[in-house]
Amino acid sequence: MRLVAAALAVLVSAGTAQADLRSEWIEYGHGATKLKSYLVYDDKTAGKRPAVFLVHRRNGMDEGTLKSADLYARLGYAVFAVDIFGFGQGVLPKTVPEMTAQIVTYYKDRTLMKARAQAGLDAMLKNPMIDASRVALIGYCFGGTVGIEMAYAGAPLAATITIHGTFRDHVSEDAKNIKGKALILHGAEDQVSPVAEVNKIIADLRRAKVDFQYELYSGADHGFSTPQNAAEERANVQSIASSTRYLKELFGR
Amino acid sequence: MTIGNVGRILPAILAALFVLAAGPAQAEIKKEWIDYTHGTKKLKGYAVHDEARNGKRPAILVIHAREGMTQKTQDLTEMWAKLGYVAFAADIFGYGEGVLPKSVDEMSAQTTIFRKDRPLTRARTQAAWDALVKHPLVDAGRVALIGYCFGGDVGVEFGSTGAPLALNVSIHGSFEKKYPEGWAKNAKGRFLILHGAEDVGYPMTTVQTVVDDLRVAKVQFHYEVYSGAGHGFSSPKGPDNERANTQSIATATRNMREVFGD
Repeated sequence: MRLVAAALAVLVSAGTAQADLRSEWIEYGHGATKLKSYLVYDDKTAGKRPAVFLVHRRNGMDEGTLKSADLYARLGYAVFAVDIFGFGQGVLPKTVPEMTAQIVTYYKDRTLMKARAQAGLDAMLKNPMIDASRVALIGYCFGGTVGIEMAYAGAPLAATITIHGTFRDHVSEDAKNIKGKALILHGAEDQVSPVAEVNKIIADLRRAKVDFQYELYSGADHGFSTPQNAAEERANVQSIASSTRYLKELFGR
Repeated sequence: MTIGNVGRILPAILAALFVLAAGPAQAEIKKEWIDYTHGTKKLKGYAVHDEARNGKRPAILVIHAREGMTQKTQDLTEMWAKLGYVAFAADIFGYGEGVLPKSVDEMSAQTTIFRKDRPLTRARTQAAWDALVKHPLVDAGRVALIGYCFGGDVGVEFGSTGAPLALNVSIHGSFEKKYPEGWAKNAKGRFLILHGAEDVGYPMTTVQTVVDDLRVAKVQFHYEVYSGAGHGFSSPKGPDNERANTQSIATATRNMREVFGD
């Protein structure tokens, strides 16, 4: 009978692969700013589940961000793509100067950056399906700086994962506040956030004895999760495989 | 699900269980010593494959750590063979004539010979390659090298010859501080560098020079660093090394599956 139970477990877990995704917009505020984040999960997983707190690139809450969220939701986690820029009041930068204007605001004002992200984290944790003790942050590009900033501030994250993250002006000593692990997935030809910038973060993590893993992919420039060539295709595939394996290990599912 | 439902699908469950159980049980791991030579040097490599699989298949050329053809080297070779490949541990030191260093001094004496005489390192590795590709089950177009510690340095040296490797893996590789300018320009395939962040003898700054050389030569690579892990994490001591060991095996496996398509 134990064998039958084991076989059933196999069948049931195979079943979740066909689960449908459900998504909803979560509206909340941060001071006077109206925010609207994207929550996505599969409808087959019962009860509380681990969560991914996903921080967008300079593009904000665009189609790419929603797609990335869906990707991790298919693993059986609740994914919350946090609104940093104010998508809730219509902020969605279209041009590079508009994107730059947005990210510079937050790069310059770290208090605002952290408080804005924290407002999202608070909104996410209110959802009863989410297991607050099992939250990983995934940050892309600009979201890498937000992720490291949150982690260095001691946010209750089981892991911080950066995918071609930028790492701007962090206070090295703050690495000692990190609660969880770190996974750094980066392109060796990143012109926006070159290897030297990553090495600074790695040095911080080593000094603070943080559990981390760092992967560097040849030929890949910044933004390889929107691949432009064969090397970036490979980096994208590897980074998804690594983050998936990492999350499964971290969450035990 | 009701008991009735279980009853109806029970035959299917049992069939699934049978398939699951039968898979690994059918593997028949065949181990053999292969005698070969390099000049007058008698060599003896260790070849392992799964007899349950038919026909030619990808191969792994395992280059041992400074301890030579120890039981650990043989165990690692068996581990890689279980992926369905022919795994072959090269005899670099001359195990075929009984060379098996016991003390650290004896090990250093051996590695120093090959660190100093680079043409010897290349030729000795080439002899192993030649012995491997003669194996009737080896698809010579799909060969990876996996080097541990000293074997990582051998991998760089052999890779620099332009050997047609699909994948060149170093696991806590003992790299030189600086390789000769342009060494990477002939290198083939993908380099996979799996390293401990706390490797004292071969720190990240040393690995970075290898990575930079690969970047300049536009050689494909994947570099992975594990926190808290020191040199020799494939014989893990403590949880950080355990984790590094597990991750390195998983990443190497994934890369082999990818480059071999098998």
